[in-house]
Amino acid sequence: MRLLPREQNRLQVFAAAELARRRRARGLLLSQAEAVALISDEVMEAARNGLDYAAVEQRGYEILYPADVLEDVPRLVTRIELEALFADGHRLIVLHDPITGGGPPSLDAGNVEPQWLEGGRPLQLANTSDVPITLTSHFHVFEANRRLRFDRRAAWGMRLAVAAGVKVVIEPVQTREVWVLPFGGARIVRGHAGLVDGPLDAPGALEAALALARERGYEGA
Amino acid sequence: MPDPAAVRLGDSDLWVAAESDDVSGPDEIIAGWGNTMRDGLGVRAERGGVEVAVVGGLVLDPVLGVRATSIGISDGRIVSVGRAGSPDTMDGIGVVLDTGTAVFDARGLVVTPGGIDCHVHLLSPQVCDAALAAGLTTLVTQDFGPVWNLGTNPPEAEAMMWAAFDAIPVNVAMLVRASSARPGPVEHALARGGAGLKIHEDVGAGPEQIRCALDIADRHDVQLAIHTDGLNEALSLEDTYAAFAGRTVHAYHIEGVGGGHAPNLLELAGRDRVLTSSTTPTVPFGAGAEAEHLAMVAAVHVLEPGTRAGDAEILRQRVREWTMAAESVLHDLGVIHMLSSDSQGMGRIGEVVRRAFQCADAMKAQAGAEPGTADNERVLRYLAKITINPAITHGLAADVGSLDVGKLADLVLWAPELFAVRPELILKAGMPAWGSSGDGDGSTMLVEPVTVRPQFAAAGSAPAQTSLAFLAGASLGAELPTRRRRARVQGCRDLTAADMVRNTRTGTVTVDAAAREVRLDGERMRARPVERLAFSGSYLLG
Repeated sequence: MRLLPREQNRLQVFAAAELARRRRARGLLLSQAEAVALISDEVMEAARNGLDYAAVEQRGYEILYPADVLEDVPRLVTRIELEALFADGHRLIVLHDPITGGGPPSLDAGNVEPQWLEGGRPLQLANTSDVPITLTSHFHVFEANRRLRFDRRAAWGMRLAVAAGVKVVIEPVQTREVWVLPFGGARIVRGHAGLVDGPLDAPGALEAALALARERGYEGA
Repeated sequence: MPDPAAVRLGDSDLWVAAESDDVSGPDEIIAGWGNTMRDGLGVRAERGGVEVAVVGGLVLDPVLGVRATSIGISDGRIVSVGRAGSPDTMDGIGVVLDTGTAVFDARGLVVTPGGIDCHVHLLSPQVCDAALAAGLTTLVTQDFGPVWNLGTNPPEAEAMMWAAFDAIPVNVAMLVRASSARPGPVEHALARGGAGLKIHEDVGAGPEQIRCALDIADRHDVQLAIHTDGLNEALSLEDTYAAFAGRTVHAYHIEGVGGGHAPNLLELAGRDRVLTSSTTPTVPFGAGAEAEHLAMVAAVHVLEPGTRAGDAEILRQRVREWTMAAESVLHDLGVIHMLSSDSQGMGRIGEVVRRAFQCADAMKAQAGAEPGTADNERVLRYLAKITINPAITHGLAADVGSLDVGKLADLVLWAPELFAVRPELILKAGMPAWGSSGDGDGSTMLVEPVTVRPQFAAAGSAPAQTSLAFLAGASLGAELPTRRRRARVQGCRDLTAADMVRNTRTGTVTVDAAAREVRLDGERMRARPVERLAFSGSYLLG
């Protein structure tokens, strides 16, 4: 057979799943490892049967229900990553809470609006370009893409007033109001877009950065 | 009702809640696309940060307590504990990240110190795989394969083991056989790679051996682990205690089925200068413990009950469900200080961590919840039994046993729902040594079958870089075939029960064989067999 490591791993899943199937046939409720193995095996075999990606993914949520497993097991099986061999090759499937009827995160439910942190001040950002521009929580707003038009002076030393990791997208030719907060710590900014390289509160730092921004064509500088 | 912010450990009824939070807030460090772990944002653009950071976990530590926090690591040691980020743009940063810092994302995970098993028979190298897969990173060992040794002697064997250990990412302290009425053979081995002493009745545990070993222990500042005279052949329990002469010892498998004065070894518990440990099969007390041990003792100790005269009698003396039933209660009260395996020599190394928290859960069910935040106190008490207390007892605590600053960065990251059963990642000196890992051909790192297996710190010559050789002062400069950093065993001799973290209760334990009962200061100690064993059947294939 000249089996590859991946194929040997497939057999390990099968062996555990087969153990789970036999135990299920004896009327036993399944444990965490048994449940993961059985779900993985069945999903892989659904692809082997020729189902398409969406059908195979859906199958992952229909194999075991809370009544099929030991009491705590639905809570213990939060995520299964597996790869099945489809007609177009191996494809990753990620199952979320597969026993309790979870499902893949929906991209169709509409965008999540940012929660603005208290203590911020508003700023109007206008995207003058033809691509979306996304700002993240800890970027120095002053140095945002030069095609964003806004009061750069008012954004000096500011970050978005959002939780870490939140993103705010400004669509092409749209204007969006955001809220900004001053940086904490020693207030030293390096990197970012290269308009600042040192302490924000040093004498002349703002004027020097504004001059550089104007020179480089930053809107609103 | 549990604290709403509390985290449930596995399928148990144990809950932990952070007593302080250095993680959440607007400056949380998040790795990934468009998140905060970027040059000049959440990480300093210039150096000044730690080399490695474990960011955003719920730390359970017998010394630090329960804290949502981050851990900074440089040169393999913990150098800071606190909020992670860039002090250039964030307030209150304790763990400085810079653009050269490697970050292990522990958000949503529980972080504990690597476990310490202080009673390891290395009857095979497979013991080490089982240990690492269970979250143990330090082993106090005896033996060097399937050999009848009960210690690690002679120096030729010690040298062979140090050479072998360089491929295995665990810290090691080897005990040498001290069942000797003469110091010569013992000191010979101690000075050639040893870290402590072991007395075992199968090779001699009489008064001369005890006196001789403790003299050596005092001279070299090492610990004596002792398996006492279960036959009461030369000594009864009080004679053994008298032979200690007020000097500190570590009494192994204190319940007694692992060996030692029958039926009353447990009377050594609760005494000031006797540090005590249990082995896994009796903790928590379970319905099958007695039956299992009748088979186990005979199998391990070369008995022929029913064939050879006397063997059945000594077997029955040694296996007592009523002292087993007392042991779990004494653990819950903090009278017994440590839990260990006795691997392949009457215990299972892969269950040291599991058994500790199984006992905590079983005793919560029987004795009730304790005052304070969630079950923090109880969880930390049992955690101390498998981390800091064995470290202190064997003189390793300057380097391992907890996550306070200065210690080797041996950490275990656990998904809370898989806690104590299936570790996510085991870090040795801040480097990934073992952990949950998927198919190597997968498009992500957790494609099934995810198994717990070696990581890079277990490959090539990395284990020697990330692991310590614990050595008695006498062997610190010995010529040994190891590339490991050496750490001196110290501080073993002046220890008392008061030094045992979160397990300091002393008292008078009495064992009454006629009544089949154990009392602590007059109060009867008897756990019911565990009814619902956590961290077990909900998970394991078998």
